[in-house]
Amino acid sequence: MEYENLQWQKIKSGDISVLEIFYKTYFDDFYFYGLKIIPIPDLVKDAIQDVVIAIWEKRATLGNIQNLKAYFFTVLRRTLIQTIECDRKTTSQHHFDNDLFSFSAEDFIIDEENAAEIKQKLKYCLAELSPRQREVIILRFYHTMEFSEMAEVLQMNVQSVRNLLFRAIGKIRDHIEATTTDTIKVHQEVLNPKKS
Amino acid sequence: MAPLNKVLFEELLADESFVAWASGKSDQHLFKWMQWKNEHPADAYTFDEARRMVRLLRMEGTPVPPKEVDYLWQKTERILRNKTRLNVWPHIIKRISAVAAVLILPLIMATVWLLISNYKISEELTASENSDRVINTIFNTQGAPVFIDLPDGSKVWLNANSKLTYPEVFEDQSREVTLVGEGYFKIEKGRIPFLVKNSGPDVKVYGTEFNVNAFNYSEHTKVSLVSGKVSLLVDGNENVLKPGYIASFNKSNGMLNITKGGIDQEICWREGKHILKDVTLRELLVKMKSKYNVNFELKDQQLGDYKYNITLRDESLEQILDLLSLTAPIKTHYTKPSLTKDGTYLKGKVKIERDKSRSIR
Repeated sequence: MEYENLQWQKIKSGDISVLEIFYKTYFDDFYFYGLKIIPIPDLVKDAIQDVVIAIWEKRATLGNIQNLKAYFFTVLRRTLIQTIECDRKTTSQHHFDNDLFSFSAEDFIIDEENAAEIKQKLKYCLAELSPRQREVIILRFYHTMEFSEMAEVLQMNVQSVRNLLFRAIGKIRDHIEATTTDTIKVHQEVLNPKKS
Repeated sequence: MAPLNKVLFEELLADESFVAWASGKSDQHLFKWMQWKNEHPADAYTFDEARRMVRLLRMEGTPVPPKEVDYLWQKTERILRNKTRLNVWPHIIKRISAVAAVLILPLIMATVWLLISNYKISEELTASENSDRVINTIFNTQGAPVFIDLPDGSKVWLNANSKLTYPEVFEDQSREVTLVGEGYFKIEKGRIPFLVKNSGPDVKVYGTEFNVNAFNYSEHTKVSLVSGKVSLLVDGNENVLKPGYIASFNKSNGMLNITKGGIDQEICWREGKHILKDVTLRELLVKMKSKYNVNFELKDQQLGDYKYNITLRDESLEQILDLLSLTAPIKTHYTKPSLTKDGTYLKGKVKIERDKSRSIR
């Protein structure tokens, strides 16, 4: 997008106010994304600060960034994951892997009849996905990223991202269907008693 | 049940406009998708499943309070400015330990005094490690507009129940003010962009005359451009406004609408005139409540829906009540404000009820 390129050009030339606007506009998104990787608020806030500083200081050498937001996500991701890995080497905690991109039932807004039940099911079935699959779900549906942006953040090619996303959705669909089909069937029979 | 058309399912989920509509984030594409569904009856099941999937995966994050974001930015900016001056290369990634951060609040001294009985000025001194910035806040609690001269020669007229915050000296990178309520701006042209922050999108100014309406209680913020050029910063994008156009921002769905004309209505408050077209009685009562400092009691809720086209100047409350009962079958009864025996002040009160002797068309 043209404006975003202009935005980066201004930051490159030393315009802090543009960086400030960028920071304040997308802070919530970066924070929410970071929290899914490591659910420790202060750590994520510090990481965001580090990324801003790193980008500002290296602005001259960074070349042309087409999509600053996606780039920021990429660097933030790398920063946070490296933090976990450093931690892992010195301690023997590897439970982080399973917790990466973890969702609680409360994260979801669902307005169907059995809302609480579906939220729980969704939570469990998301737990069965790989961290990468969970990540792609959140990038697509919460951050509404396009495939090209996700490819940049995940450092994969667009086709692989597509496969990843749709495999994840397929798994979710199967899981939710399997556990709620019976309820739906019962409802349908009640509503249409004459139909076979 | 009909089998799922996998290809279509994936195409829909890969489509930005479908996801935007299905997640309920915007109504922009509603018509498009309803039309699509009508034109493809055989794919109704797949369509519904795709929509269901999107709705299933809707998540809500709790936003970080803006004050905290501002605070975090200030911390970051201080470091950035230091690094710019000293040209120090940073550590790229450092080990961060999961220790709760201790927030050190800057010392804030607030001194409040009344210059003129009509408006209050409060001064905040924020002392930080590197700089001292004096910030002025002007709160207009009276009815008439208050005139403010900004440090760069720009002029602002502040409407009633409105607040303008600005630094005593503008920074060399940006001229920034914060508005709550309504203000009319006449900004000096300058190399440094002027920014009006408010509860809606930031208004970026290039030297010009315009009006910003951004009350906290309202669902919309409106920017009306008289002359010159401004742009509204929505999601990092600049939406340019041309003279004679009004930009209306809906706070609940984040949509920006730009329409032509109607500027007079938006700026007449400066002359003490209020041109109100197609307002309901209910909306009028809200405005009058703050202007005349009275309470209103609407005996019949349906009366609140009556619409008015009305131009108000400096009429007294009683004159307006008379005007209102001319065109709608209402009776008004006004109790003047009074002081009770033990010294408490009772606000004026207006009871509005249906006038049964007059028939409704």
